[in-house]
Amino acid sequence: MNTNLLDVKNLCTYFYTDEGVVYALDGVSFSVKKGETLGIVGESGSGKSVAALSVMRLVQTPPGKIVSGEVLMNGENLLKLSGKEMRAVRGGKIAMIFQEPMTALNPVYTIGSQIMESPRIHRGLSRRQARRVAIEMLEKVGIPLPEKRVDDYPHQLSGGMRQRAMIAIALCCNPELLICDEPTTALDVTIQAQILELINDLKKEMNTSVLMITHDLGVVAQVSENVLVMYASKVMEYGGVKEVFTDPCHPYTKALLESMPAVESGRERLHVIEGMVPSLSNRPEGCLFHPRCERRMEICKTLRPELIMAPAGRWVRCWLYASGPRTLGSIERG
Amino acid sequence: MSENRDKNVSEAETLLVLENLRKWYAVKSARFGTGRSYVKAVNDVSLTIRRGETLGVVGESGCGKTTLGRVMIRLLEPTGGRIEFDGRDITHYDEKRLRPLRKDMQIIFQDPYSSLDPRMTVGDIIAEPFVFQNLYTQAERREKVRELMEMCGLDPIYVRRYPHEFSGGQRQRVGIARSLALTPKLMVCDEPVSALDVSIQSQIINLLVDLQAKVGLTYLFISHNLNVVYHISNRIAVMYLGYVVELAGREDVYFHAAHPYTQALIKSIPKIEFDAPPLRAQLKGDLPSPVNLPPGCPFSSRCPRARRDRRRCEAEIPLLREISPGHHAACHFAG
Repeated sequence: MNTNLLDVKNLCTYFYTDEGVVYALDGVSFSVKKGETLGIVGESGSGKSVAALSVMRLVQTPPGKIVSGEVLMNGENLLKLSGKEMRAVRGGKIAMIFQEPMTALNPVYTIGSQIMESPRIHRGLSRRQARRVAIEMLEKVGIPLPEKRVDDYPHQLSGGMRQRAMIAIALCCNPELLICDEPTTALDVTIQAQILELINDLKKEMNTSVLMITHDLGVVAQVSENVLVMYASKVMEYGGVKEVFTDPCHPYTKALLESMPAVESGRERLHVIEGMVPSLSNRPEGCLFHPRCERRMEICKTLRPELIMAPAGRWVRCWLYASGPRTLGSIERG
Repeated sequence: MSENRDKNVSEAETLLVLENLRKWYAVKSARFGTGRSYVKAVNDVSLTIRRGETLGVVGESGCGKTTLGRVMIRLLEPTGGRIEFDGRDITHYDEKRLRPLRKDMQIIFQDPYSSLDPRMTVGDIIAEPFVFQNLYTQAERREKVRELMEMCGLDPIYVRRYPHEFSGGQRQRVGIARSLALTPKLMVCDEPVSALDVSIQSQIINLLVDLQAKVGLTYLFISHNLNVVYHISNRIAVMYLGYVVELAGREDVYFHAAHPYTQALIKSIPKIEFDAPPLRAQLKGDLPSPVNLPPGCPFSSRCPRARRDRRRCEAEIPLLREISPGHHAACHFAG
């Protein structure tokens, strides 16, 4: 039985540019259960944001194109929907929070009118009803004096308050899936803690599933149950967040964790991943990580590894674990 | 560890002294006749930086850490107070007298994309300080640039390339090479790794640590990332609304924080820990506007401790005082 809210299978999104094809997302599969938070981590250029945009079908075409794959929401393939049907999904069943609240909010409309927009479209509410929803939502996300703030413009709010307003917009239609693309990257730590707490509380209250995209491993550790580690357009490791972070299988995950300055260990020198993230239009042969990998073998230089189930009980794309390969056709995680 | 290092440092080894340093920006008053109002970016900061040490400065955006770094090396005019660099009072030096001193005070900027001139080659960018200071012949400059590039982990064959041909981490290396060109005594690092990915960040941090050992640099390391600051610093100054609220060895700041703001800041870091209780918000509300600072303690409006004696916290600005050897905090209830 399939209890997954979202099943992404073998999703490929390419960008066709003058410099060649950019393989932004290449065969990415994951699933999100009802009420679960899945964290997607990766460095810039790993394809994590493109994954979110592809699920929402917001990839700009051209140059971008979702080349193949399936995005199943409650069993329905979103990639097969018409433009009109997809519009009913966006903002209704799936909502998104962006990194920079100042650019994501429209500066010439009040916060209230921006919140009211989607209940009016998706739930067919009247102006007055939608306004009541907007005030309720502002209260829910912890904005003081919501009756007054509803008529404020984005520039009148602080960064943290703007991000709260964005969350109010995203959640006002009670979406089944909330996609957060670096929701706290532009915020200070003390404000970040407030926003993460808010997202966690609302998720529990409304039983929403969350896709949390971030480069901050600490944030993922705090909010998600499962984690997808991406590198250069592919999933490198996928499993429970506690297992992946305490006992990483993939050399990339391991190196990433070791290169973070940690207070507890007190090392004088940090672990370094030599080199840099490869260009997505000119990717290396073999394993995408092999030029930077400390444990590379001959096979890594020529053959791309598949995502396989490692003995530790999670998905890993690495030749080190390639005995008796079981490829990820359909995801059925234990 | 850092405490011991601190204790062994004598007066003679002080490189920079700040006394009640203040930087206010005048802003247009809201109403006519209400007088001028000011953005109080840096308020009465007194501290010393010792030769060869790294002093970390942490705080949230708008706390004045960048302004402090720039006033300190006289890229900005101080509004009040005194700056003594290498035994000289440079508070009121004019451009002409500052020019030779610029050799000794350099800065690395946060954004490696906007801090390099896109129309200059990397070689010219690194050699530019020599041009300004009128140092060396053409051939010597070429040789110096080659050395600097190697020192910063850049292949000298890229000397004729332009900044856009490099990745973020490499550009930051170019910025570091340029700052190192004149072998400065003090280097202000203003969020040098904040724009970089984790795996690149560690490369740059290691480079800065290596260079310090090799050249004997003194760093003022500004960052909002506490883990990075902890890693690289000997002592840490925590800023809030333009005030230094805590100043101590890194272990003291991290494990025995005395100021409630520092405590909240440290508890707010999302950690990779699964047995500890989940992350909770430590502070309510936002940073007050630096134009209308609350009277009394700048932190009183958000402080969980201020409830104990609200009247005192809201009336009296707590001074930065030594609560244990080498550990300073600005709180009425610290220690």
